[in-house]
Amino acid sequence: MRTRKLRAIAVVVIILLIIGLIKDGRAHFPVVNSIIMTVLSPVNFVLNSFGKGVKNTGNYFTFRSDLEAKDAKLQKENDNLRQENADLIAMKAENDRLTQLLNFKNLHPNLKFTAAKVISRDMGDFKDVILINVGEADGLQLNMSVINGSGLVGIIDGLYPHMAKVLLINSPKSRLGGMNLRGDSRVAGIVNGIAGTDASLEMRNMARNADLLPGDTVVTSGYSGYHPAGLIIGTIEEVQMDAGGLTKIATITPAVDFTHLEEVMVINNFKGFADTLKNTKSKQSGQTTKGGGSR
Amino acid sequence: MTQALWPLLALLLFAVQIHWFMFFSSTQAPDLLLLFLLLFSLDTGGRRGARCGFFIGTLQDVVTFSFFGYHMITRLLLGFLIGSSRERIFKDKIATFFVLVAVVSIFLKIVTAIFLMIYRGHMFPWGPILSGTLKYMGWNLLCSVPMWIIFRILRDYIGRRENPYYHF
Repeated sequence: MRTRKLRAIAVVVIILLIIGLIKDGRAHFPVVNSIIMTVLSPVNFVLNSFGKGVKNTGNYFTFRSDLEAKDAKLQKENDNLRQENADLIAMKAENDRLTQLLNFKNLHPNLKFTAAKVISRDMGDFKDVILINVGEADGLQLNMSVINGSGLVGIIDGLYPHMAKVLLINSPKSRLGGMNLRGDSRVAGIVNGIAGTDASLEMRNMARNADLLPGDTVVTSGYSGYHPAGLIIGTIEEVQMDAGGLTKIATITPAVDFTHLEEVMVINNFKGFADTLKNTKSKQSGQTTKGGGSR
Repeated sequence: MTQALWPLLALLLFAVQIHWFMFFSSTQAPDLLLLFLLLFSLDTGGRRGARCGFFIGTLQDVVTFSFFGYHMITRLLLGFLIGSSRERIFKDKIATFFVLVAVVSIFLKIVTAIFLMIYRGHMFPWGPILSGTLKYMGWNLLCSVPMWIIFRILRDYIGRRENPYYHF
């Protein structure tokens, strides 16, 4: 009897609750609502997390192949851009070097040049010789001056039909006439190399009271008869007396970076008095002159 | 006939050496011919090492011509000395070759510097010579492994062609 009553009350309460829910929504039962939500929230959380996990896993597998394809595409694009960048840097460097050569050419309109590329170096322990890709067939002759945008590089020391051997001015075998460019000095001497690419040049045979200062620029004097005057050789780094105390020696830092020579130009129309003398001698004795180290 | 491969390899190495700067932006190139000479001398002994040194030195002297004879003599002596001492060292160990490369690189640079000092008649600053020596030795050591491998491959190939019973 009692159970029936309770059941009836419960049914009525439930019906009232349902009616209340239907009519005005849950806001009218905040306590019940909060209880339900509190009970359900951990379940909600778990289900939500699980659902998200499942969804993410699905997404992962779905988009993985897309991402891989995109990544491969971007990687390829990146590689191409890197390569293009490297090419542009190389082109810029080449452009700078050629601009320097062109400037040199413009500064010396009376001289004619043959452009050449360095094709070989590091041929022996002294590293004082390079090969260039123009030779006798291109009109080159022994003792012609070889320059680049920075200054004098060397002398043609050996000729082949399509290439030539250049003796660098930093060779211990090289001798050439040098002069201090400073207007109130104009001291002349003989410039020679010391020990190949690793060391500087030196200028010798100058009077003990010669006016030379560190920082002065040394150019070719033209007195040797093989080079035009005014080609830059380098900058004086140190001046000292020789062992006997009779003459001065200047250590010169070369203007040309011999370790990075790539393009050079050969001056092909300079006629110094050495050529005149040579021709006269040849005519007189019928002998030919060979190329050598000292100029 | 297959022995002709040795001079061909030497020429190939020389070509690689003188064009090294086109592939690597470096102020120094490895002395591949020197590495070849060391390996050849270690493998064949003093007489053949001296012959190989003479050939290599002549090649370098003819091309550079700045101090004709210098490379010839130094390489000939190196080939002879290394080849003659091969019985007294562990010639088949790569570690021995590394040590030999380092020592010979330093030795050659010092000899070159002394030769130039005598030629010029005065002392040079040692700083640039030292830095050049270190770079030279570094490149030589770096290239000594591929050279060791290439040399062994060619030596075994020639050995098999020349002698059917060759086994190493």
